[in-house]
Amino acid sequence: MPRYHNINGIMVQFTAEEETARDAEIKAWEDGKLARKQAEMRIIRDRYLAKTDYLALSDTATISDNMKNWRQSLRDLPANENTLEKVQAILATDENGKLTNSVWTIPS
Amino acid sequence: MSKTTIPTGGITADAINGTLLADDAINSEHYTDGSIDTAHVADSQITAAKTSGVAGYVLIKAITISGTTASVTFQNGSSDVVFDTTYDTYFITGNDIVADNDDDNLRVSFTDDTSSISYDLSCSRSTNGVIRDGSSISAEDQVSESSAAQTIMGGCGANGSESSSFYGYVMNPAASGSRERFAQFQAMIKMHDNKNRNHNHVIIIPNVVVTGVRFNWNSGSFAQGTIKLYGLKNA
Repeated sequence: MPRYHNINGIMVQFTAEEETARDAEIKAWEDGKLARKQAEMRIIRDRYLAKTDYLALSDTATISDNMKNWRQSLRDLPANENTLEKVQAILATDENGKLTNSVWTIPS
Repeated sequence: MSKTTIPTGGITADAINGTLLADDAINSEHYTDGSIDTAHVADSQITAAKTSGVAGYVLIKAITISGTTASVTFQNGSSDVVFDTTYDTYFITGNDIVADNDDDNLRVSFTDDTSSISYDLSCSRSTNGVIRDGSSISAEDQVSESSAAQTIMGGCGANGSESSSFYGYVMNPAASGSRERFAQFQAMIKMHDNKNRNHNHVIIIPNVVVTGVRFNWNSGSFAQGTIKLYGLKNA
Protein backbone atom coordinates (compact mmCIF):
# COMPACT_ATOMS: atom_id res chain seq x y z
CA MET A 1 0.00 0.00 0.00
CA PRO A 2 1.53 3.37 -0.95
CA ARG A 3 2.40 5.86 1.76
CA TYR A 4 1.43 9.52 1.74
CA HIS A 5 2.75 12.76 3.14
CA ASN A 6 0.20 15.36 4.12
CA ILE A 7 1.98 18.53 2.97
CA ASN A 8 0.13 21.73 3.83
CA GLY A 9 -3.12 19.76 3.82
CA ILE A 10 -2.53 18.06 0.48
CA MET A 11 -1.86 14.32 0.22
CA VAL A 12 1.33 13.61 -1.71
CA GLN A 13 2.32 10.04 -2.48
CA PHE A 14 5.82 8.89 -1.51
CA THR A 15 8.30 8.63 -4.35
CA ALA A 16 9.89 5.25 -5.00
CA GLU A 17 13.07 6.50 -3.31
CA GLU A 18 11.11 7.64 -0.26
CA GLU A 19 9.36 4.25 -0.05
CA THR A 20 12.72 2.48 -0.13
CA ALA A 21 14.22 4.79 2.50
CA ARG A 22 11.15 4.41 4.73
CA ASP A 23 11.25 0.60 4.45
CA ALA A 24 14.90 0.66 5.54
CA GLU A 25 14.12 3.01 8.41
CA ILE A 26 11.30 0.80 9.67
CA LYS A 27 13.47 -2.32 9.40
CA ALA A 28 16.20 -0.64 11.48
CA TRP A 29 13.59 0.37 14.04
CA GLU A 30 12.20 -3.16 14.23
CA ASP A 31 15.71 -4.61 14.49
CA GLY A 32 16.30 -2.42 17.53
CA LYS A 33 13.13 -3.51 19.31
CA LEU A 34 14.84 -6.09 21.54
CA ALA A 35 17.40 -3.53 22.74
CA ARG A 36 14.65 -0.97 23.46
CA LYS A 37 12.56 -3.50 25.39
CA GLN A 38 15.61 -4.64 27.36
CA ALA A 39 16.35 -1.03 28.24
CA GLU A 40 12.77 -0.61 29.44
CA MET A 41 13.11 -3.82 31.48
CA ARG A 42 16.32 -2.54 33.09
CA ILE A 43 14.64 0.71 34.12
CA ILE A 44 11.82 -1.21 35.80
CA ARG A 45 14.29 -3.69 37.30
CA ASP A 46 16.33 -0.86 38.81
CA ARG A 47 13.19 0.61 40.33
CA TYR A 48 12.30 -2.70 42.00
CA LEU A 49 15.84 -3.14 43.30
CA ALA A 50 15.74 0.37 44.71
CA LYS A 51 12.55 -0.46 46.59
CA THR A 52 14.43 -3.11 48.61
CA ASP A 53 17.89 -1.52 48.77
CA TYR A 54 17.30 -0.57 52.39
CA LEU A 55 17.27 -4.27 53.34
CA ALA A 56 20.78 -4.71 51.97
CA LEU A 57 22.35 -1.82 53.84
CA SER A 58 25.17 -3.05 56.07
CA ASP A 59 23.84 -1.33 59.18
CA THR A 60 20.36 -2.81 58.92
CA ALA A 61 21.57 -6.37 59.38
CA THR A 62 19.00 -8.90 58.25
CA ILE A 63 18.06 -9.79 54.71
CA SER A 64 16.46 -13.15 54.06
CA ASP A 65 17.85 -15.67 51.59
CA ASN A 66 14.57 -15.40 49.78
CA MET A 67 15.08 -11.68 49.28
CA LYS A 68 18.73 -12.16 48.29
CA ASN A 69 17.74 -14.67 45.63
CA TRP A 70 14.99 -12.45 44.30
CA ARG A 71 17.30 -9.46 44.03
CA GLN A 72 19.88 -11.61 42.25
CA SER A 73 17.24 -12.85 39.82
CA LEU A 74 16.43 -9.23 38.97
CA ARG A 75 20.11 -8.52 38.33
CA ASP A 76 20.24 -11.57 36.06
CA LEU A 77 17.26 -10.49 33.95
CA PRO A 78 19.25 -8.78 31.13
CA ALA A 79 21.49 -11.84 30.73
CA ASN A 80 18.72 -14.42 30.91
CA GLU A 81 15.97 -12.65 29.01
CA ASN A 82 17.69 -12.22 25.69
CA THR A 83 14.95 -12.69 23.10
CA LEU A 84 12.09 -10.39 22.25
CA GLU A 85 9.52 -13.02 23.25
CA LYS A 86 11.13 -13.51 26.66
CA VAL A 87 11.41 -9.78 27.36
CA GLN A 88 7.83 -9.16 26.28
CA ALA A 89 6.72 -11.89 28.68
CA ILE A 90 8.61 -10.17 31.49
CA LEU A 91 7.01 -6.83 30.58
CA ALA A 92 3.48 -8.19 30.20
CA THR A 93 0.79 -6.03 31.80
CA ASP A 94 -2.87 -6.36 32.60
CA GLU A 95 -5.59 -4.07 31.27
CA ASN A 96 -4.65 -1.50 33.92
CA GLY A 97 -1.00 -1.44 32.93
CA LYS A 98 0.15 -3.41 35.97
CA LEU A 99 3.07 -5.78 35.45
CA THR A 100 1.81 -9.33 35.73
CA ASN A 101 4.97 -11.50 35.54
CA SER A 102 5.76 -13.13 38.88
CA VAL A 103 9.35 -11.91 38.69
CA TRP A 104 8.08 -8.51 39.87
CA THR A 105 6.50 -9.88 43.03
CA ILE A 106 8.53 -8.71 46.00
CA PRO A 107 9.08 -11.56 48.49
CA SER A 108 7.53 -11.02 51.88
CA MET B 1 -33.40 73.85 14.81
CA SER B 2 -33.39 70.29 13.71
CA LYS B 3 -31.16 69.14 10.85
CA THR B 4 -31.75 65.80 9.16
CA THR B 5 -29.03 66.10 6.56
CA ILE B 6 -25.53 67.49 6.48
CA PRO B 7 -24.44 68.87 3.11
CA THR B 8 -21.36 67.45 1.43
CA GLY B 9 -18.34 69.17 2.85
CA GLY B 10 -20.37 70.37 5.79
CA ILE B 11 -18.12 68.77 8.32
CA THR B 12 -14.45 69.10 7.61
CA ALA B 13 -11.85 66.56 8.51
CA ASP B 14 -11.37 66.31 12.26
CA ALA B 15 -14.14 68.86 12.88
CA ILE B 16 -15.46 66.48 15.48
CA ASN B 17 -12.54 65.35 17.51
CA GLY B 18 -11.76 64.36 21.04
CA THR B 19 -12.20 67.87 22.39
CA LEU B 20 -15.77 68.15 21.11
CA LEU B 21 -16.86 64.58 21.51
CA ALA B 22 -17.24 64.00 25.21
CA ASP B 23 -16.57 60.69 26.86
CA ASP B 24 -19.68 58.56 26.55
CA ALA B 25 -21.17 60.86 23.89
CA ILE B 26 -21.43 57.65 21.95
CA ASN B 27 -22.07 54.87 24.41
CA SER B 28 -23.50 51.41 24.57
CA GLU B 29 -27.01 52.80 24.06
CA HIS B 30 -25.98 53.71 20.53
CA TYR B 31 -24.23 50.45 19.88
CA THR B 32 -27.31 48.47 20.77
CA ASP B 33 -30.11 50.57 19.38
CA GLY B 34 -29.00 50.11 15.81
CA SER B 35 -28.06 53.74 15.13
CA ILE B 36 -24.49 52.57 14.54
CA ASP B 37 -24.75 49.50 12.37
CA THR B 38 -22.90 47.77 9.59
CA ALA B 39 -23.84 50.56 7.19
CA HIS B 40 -21.72 52.95 9.25
CA VAL B 41 -18.83 50.67 10.15
CA ALA B 42 -17.55 48.52 7.34
CA ASP B 43 -16.20 45.03 7.97
CA SER B 44 -12.86 46.14 6.56
CA GLN B 45 -12.59 48.85 9.20
CA ILE B 46 -13.19 46.34 11.97
CA THR B 47 -10.68 43.99 10.36
CA ALA B 48 -8.16 46.81 10.16
CA ALA B 49 -8.72 47.64 13.81
CA LYS B 50 -8.35 44.01 14.83
CA THR B 51 -5.16 43.49 12.88
CA SER B 52 -3.35 46.61 13.96
CA GLY B 53 -1.85 47.08 17.35
CA VAL B 54 -2.89 43.68 18.65
CA ALA B 55 -0.44 40.85 19.20
CA GLY B 56 -1.61 37.30 18.96
CA TYR B 57 -1.58 33.93 17.29
CA VAL B 58 -2.49 33.82 13.61
CA LEU B 59 -3.68 30.44 12.38
CA ILE B 60 -1.72 29.60 9.24
CA LYS B 61 -2.87 26.06 8.54
CA ALA B 62 -4.77 23.29 10.33
CA ILE B 63 -4.34 19.72 9.17
CA THR B 64 -6.87 17.20 10.41
CA ILE B 65 -5.62 13.70 9.79
CA SER B 66 -8.10 11.21 8.45
CA GLY B 67 -7.07 7.78 7.37
CA THR B 68 -3.53 6.59 7.35
CA THR B 69 -1.02 9.40 6.80
CA ALA B 70 2.70 8.71 7.02
CA SER B 71 3.75 12.30 7.72
CA VAL B 72 2.34 15.76 8.34
CA THR B 73 4.35 18.62 6.90
CA PHE B 74 4.21 22.41 6.92
CA GLN B 75 6.33 23.60 4.01
CA ASN B 76 6.83 27.25 3.19
CA GLY B 77 5.45 28.60 -0.05
CA SER B 78 2.29 26.72 -0.99
CA SER B 79 -1.34 26.36 0.09
CA ASP B 80 -1.14 29.64 2.03
CA VAL B 81 1.54 28.23 4.33
CA VAL B 82 4.31 30.58 5.37
CA PHE B 83 7.27 29.32 7.33
CA ASP B 84 9.76 32.07 6.77
CA THR B 85 10.46 35.55 8.15
CA THR B 86 6.76 36.49 8.17
CA TYR B 87 6.77 35.68 11.89
CA ASP B 88 9.63 35.60 14.36
CA THR B 89 8.08 32.69 16.20
CA TYR B 90 5.89 29.83 15.03
CA PHE B 91 3.60 27.88 17.36
CA ILE B 92 2.50 24.33 16.63
CA THR B 93 -0.16 22.28 18.38
CA GLY B 94 -0.88 18.58 18.01
CA ASN B 95 -4.18 17.48 19.49
CA ASP B 96 -5.50 13.96 20.08
CA ILE B 97 -2.57 12.39 18.25
CA VAL B 98 -2.83 8.62 17.80
CA ALA B 99 -0.45 6.26 16.00
CA ASP B 100 -1.62 3.26 14.05
CA ASN B 101 1.22 1.19 15.57
CA ASP B 102 1.38 0.53 19.28
CA ASP B 103 4.40 1.79 21.21
CA ASP B 104 5.55 4.18 18.49
CA ASN B 105 7.51 7.45 18.74
CA LEU B 106 6.47 10.72 17.10
CA ARG B 107 9.38 12.65 15.65
CA VAL B 108 9.97 16.13 14.26
CA SER B 109 12.40 17.02 11.48
CA PHE B 110 13.30 20.16 9.57
CA THR B 111 14.45 21.15 6.09
CA ASP B 112 16.21 24.10 4.51
CA ASP B 113 15.40 22.99 0.97
CA THR B 114 13.25 24.91 -1.49
CA SER B 115 13.32 22.24 -4.20
CA SER B 116 14.02 18.51 -4.10
CA ILE B 117 12.93 18.80 -0.50
CA SER B 118 14.44 16.45 2.03
CA TYR B 119 13.83 16.64 5.77
CA ASP B 120 17.39 15.85 6.72
CA LEU B 121 18.72 18.75 8.82
CA SER B 122 20.87 17.22 11.52
CA CYS B 123 19.69 18.53 14.90
CA SER B 124 20.48 17.87 18.54
CA ARG B 125 18.01 17.47 21.38
CA SER B 126 18.01 17.55 25.15
CA THR B 127 14.99 16.29 27.02
CA ASN B 128 13.83 16.33 30.57
CA GLY B 129 10.71 14.56 31.64
CA VAL B 130 8.88 12.39 34.11
CA ILE B 131 6.99 9.13 34.02
CA ARG B 132 4.18 8.67 36.48
CA ASP B 133 3.21 5.11 37.31
CA GLY B 134 0.46 5.10 39.87
CA SER B 135 1.73 6.93 42.91
CA SER B 136 5.40 6.73 41.92
CA ILE B 137 7.21 9.11 39.61
CA SER B 138 10.62 8.85 37.99
CA ALA B 139 12.77 11.18 35.91
CA GLU B 140 13.42 10.38 32.30
CA ASP B 141 16.11 12.59 30.75
CA GLN B 142 17.62 12.06 27.32
CA VAL B 143 20.22 13.49 24.97
CA SER B 144 20.19 12.97 21.22
CA GLU B 145 22.97 14.19 18.95
CA SER B 146 23.16 14.64 15.20
CA SER B 147 19.89 13.16 14.10
CA ALA B 148 17.52 14.43 11.42
CA ALA B 149 14.46 13.02 13.17
CA GLN B 150 14.12 13.97 16.82
CA THR B 151 11.63 12.19 19.06
CA ILE B 152 9.10 14.44 20.79
CA MET B 153 6.58 11.82 21.98
CA GLY B 154 7.76 8.38 23.02
CA GLY B 155 5.82 5.20 23.62
CA CYS B 156 2.53 6.34 22.15
CA GLY B 157 -0.19 3.74 22.14
CA ALA B 158 -2.66 2.76 19.49
CA ASN B 159 -5.47 1.48 21.66
CA GLY B 160 -8.50 3.37 22.86
CA SER B 161 -7.33 4.10 26.38
CA GLU B 162 -4.13 5.87 25.33
CA SER B 163 -3.84 9.41 24.05
CA SER B 164 -1.24 12.09 23.44
CA SER B 165 -0.92 15.76 22.57
CA PHE B 166 1.90 18.24 22.14
CA TYR B 167 2.64 21.88 21.56
CA GLY B 168 5.83 23.66 20.62
CA TYR B 169 7.55 26.75 19.33
CA VAL B 170 10.04 27.22 16.52
CA MET B 171 12.05 30.38 17.05
CA ASN B 172 13.29 32.47 14.11
CA PRO B 173 13.37 29.58 11.66
CA ALA B 174 14.28 31.71 8.66
CA ALA B 175 16.20 34.59 10.17
CA SER B 176 19.46 35.44 8.46
CA GLY B 177 22.51 35.15 10.64
CA SER B 178 25.09 32.73 11.77
CA ARG B 179 23.56 31.32 14.93
CA GLU B 180 21.60 28.16 15.53
CA ARG B 181 17.83 28.22 15.80
CA PHE B 182 15.82 26.67 18.61
CA ALA B 183 12.63 24.69 18.81
CA GLN B 184 10.92 23.60 21.98
CA PHE B 185 8.20 20.98 22.33
CA GLN B 186 6.13 19.91 25.30
CA ALA B 187 4.62 16.44 25.04
CA MET B 188 1.86 14.86 27.11
CA ILE B 189 1.17 11.16 26.82
CA LYS B 190 -1.39 9.07 28.72
CA MET B 191 -0.33 5.46 28.50
CA HIS B 192 -2.28 3.05 30.65
CA ASP B 193 -4.56 3.71 33.59
CA ASN B 194 -2.84 6.02 36.04
CA LYS B 195 0.37 6.05 33.99
CA ASN B 196 1.55 8.99 31.95
CA ARG B 197 4.69 10.47 30.47
CA ASN B 198 5.44 14.20 30.17
CA HIS B 199 8.47 15.58 28.39
CA ASN B 200 10.03 18.90 27.53
CA HIS B 201 12.37 18.88 24.52
CA VAL B 202 14.77 21.58 23.38
CA ILE B 203 16.01 21.08 19.83
CA ILE B 204 18.93 22.99 18.32
CA ILE B 205 18.64 23.44 14.57
CA PRO B 206 21.64 24.36 12.37
CA ASN B 207 22.15 27.97 11.32
CA VAL B 208 20.39 27.72 7.98
CA VAL B 209 17.16 29.21 6.64
CA VAL B 210 14.59 26.62 7.70
CA THR B 211 11.75 26.24 5.20
CA GLY B 212 9.64 23.48 6.66
CA VAL B 213 8.80 21.20 9.56
CA ARG B 214 7.64 17.57 9.38
CA PHE B 215 6.13 15.14 11.89
CA ASN B 216 6.25 11.37 11.45
CA TRP B 217 6.56 8.13 13.42
CA ASN B 218 9.40 5.72 13.91
CA SER B 219 7.63 2.87 12.20
CA GLY B 220 3.98 3.53 11.55
CA SER B 221 1.56 6.20 10.42
CA PHE B 222 -0.95 8.58 11.97
CA ALA B 223 -4.31 7.08 12.78
CA GLN B 224 -5.81 10.41 13.80
CA GLY B 225 -5.05 13.87 15.13
CA THR B 226 -5.06 17.55 14.29
CA ILE B 227 -1.88 19.55 13.87
CA LYS B 228 -2.03 23.32 13.55
CA LEU B 229 0.60 25.88 12.61
CA TYR B 230 0.30 29.42 13.97
CA GLY B 231 2.42 32.52 13.54
CA LEU B 232 3.03 34.66 16.61
CA LYS B 233 2.20 38.16 15.45
CA ASN B 234 3.78 41.26 16.92
CA ALA B 235 1.55 44.17 17.90
